[in-house]
Amino acid sequence: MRFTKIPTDTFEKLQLNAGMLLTSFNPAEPTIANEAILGATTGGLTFNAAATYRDNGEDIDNCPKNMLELKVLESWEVTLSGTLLTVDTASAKKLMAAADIGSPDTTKVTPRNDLLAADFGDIWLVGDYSDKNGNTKGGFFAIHILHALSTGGFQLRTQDKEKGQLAFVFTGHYSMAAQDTVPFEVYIQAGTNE
Amino acid sequence: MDKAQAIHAFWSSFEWPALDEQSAYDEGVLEELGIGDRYITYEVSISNFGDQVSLTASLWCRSTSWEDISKKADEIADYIGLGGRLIRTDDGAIWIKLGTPFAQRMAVQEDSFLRRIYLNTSAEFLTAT
Repeated sequence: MRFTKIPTDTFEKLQLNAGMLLTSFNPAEPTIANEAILGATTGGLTFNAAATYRDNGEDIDNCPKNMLELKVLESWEVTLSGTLLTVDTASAKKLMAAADIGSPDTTKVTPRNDLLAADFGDIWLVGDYSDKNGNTKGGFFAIHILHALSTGGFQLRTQDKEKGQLAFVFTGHYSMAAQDTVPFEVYIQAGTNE
Repeated sequence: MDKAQAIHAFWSSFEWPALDEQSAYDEGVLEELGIGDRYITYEVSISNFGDQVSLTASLWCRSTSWEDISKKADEIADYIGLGGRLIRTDDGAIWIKLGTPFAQRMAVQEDSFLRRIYLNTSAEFLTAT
């Protein structure tokens, strides 16, 4: 049929697999340090960047809705959600957002009632991209969430004969120091032959 | 190469000769073809964009030990990897993924020295047709 086709380069532009949740990543040198992996996840990850718009023409008589010249972008709501299967004190602290790892008892994670600037930290979702995805020159699709904070609370769901699951939601935040910087950015790098 | 040729090339990339299991031969013919005591037979299923199909294969090895054939199964599992492996075709790619379970040892009643490991993979077709 004439209008039932896909682009011939479709397979070169697909994001593949669930991706990884990282606390640091350098797109210029895309190697992954084991300690940068926040944990093993299940069910994939969901990134959502929702823009909030205001229609400045909505209270103007005779002005149709959604007049492009009067549309204003107010802000972005940036979230990354999923479910972790693994947890240690560092990731538990990250999920609690406002919390501290004990000292000298480093097995204890204590939540706080006050939020500190240090509780915010960048999070990366990095997944395979393109048809060339070898171990050294593979393509990647990376989303950088700036000043992420766990806003979904600390949750643990256990089940008989199943692995425990920790659902999470991270929210990206604007910073007073860079108020025009939207708290996410995307890198899409096609792979090359190994 | 077309999809069937790409599947053949994939299974042939592990050093052991690979044969389409629908044209698997008896012992005499294998000897005539120079196929030794170690080979792979594989299934060919062809589909279209977005379809995911099961692709099975078998490793065969005449030996008193499971060591070599198990190493070959591990090598194939490592090559496919947890994220799968894309193999190119004329009009796109086939995404080979590990099945569950990936490898099963099978008894061969007719020949107690012939070892067989049955491999499960799935293939998602990312081809233009």
